[in-house]
Amino acid sequence: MTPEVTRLDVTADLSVEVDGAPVRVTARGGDVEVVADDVRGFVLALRAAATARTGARPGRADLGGLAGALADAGLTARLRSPAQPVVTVGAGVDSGLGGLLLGTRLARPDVRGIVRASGRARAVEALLGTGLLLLVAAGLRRRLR
Amino acid sequence: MSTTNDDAATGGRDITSQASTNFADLGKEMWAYLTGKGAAINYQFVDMVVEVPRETGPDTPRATWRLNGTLRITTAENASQG
Repeated sequence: MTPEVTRLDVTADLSVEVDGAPVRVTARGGDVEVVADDVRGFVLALRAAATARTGARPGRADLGGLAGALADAGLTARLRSPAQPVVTVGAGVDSGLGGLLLGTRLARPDVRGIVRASGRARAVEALLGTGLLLLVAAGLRRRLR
Repeated sequence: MSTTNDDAATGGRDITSQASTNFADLGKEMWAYLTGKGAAINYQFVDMVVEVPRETGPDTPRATWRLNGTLRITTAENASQG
């Protein structure tokens, strides 16, 4: 027997603070947008809350379950920082990268956004900047020869 | 926190009066209640503070979640009914 699927319509305008860090949740129809100033901190807080509730750390299977539940309800959730998207989950998402990195094709990660949100952006930018400087230096050296 | 809910299917059954052991149970109850019914639930959060344990155990540090704003959930086929 196929379980009955109910599509949900959500309207939300919520301000959330997690240990003082602001998170804005807005929704209209099937689209839910979550904007966190500190995405990494917000995700860690969510994981901690889920861990405290169940006693087990949520993993890829749990993310897949959440994505499936959202898709079944016709909801698409977007988690983003104020500057750029981080991940889109739920209805209408079919991502090979999501399947590879997150264990579900119903989640579409934005690699640049994830790197930035993870706090490694500065290190990556510094590395890229150093590489660029080395290339410029190498070019100047060739010209001077 | 103040909450309100309107139920077009049963004429105003108040789900908050039922015994829910925790917020997660209340969420599950809401979800089940909405399924297949012409229901609408409106929540208004006014400076609602939830302390969430960071780990399991009685004396673990807690994260403080503070909520303000509105949330409305309807079944999609009833979304236009307001």
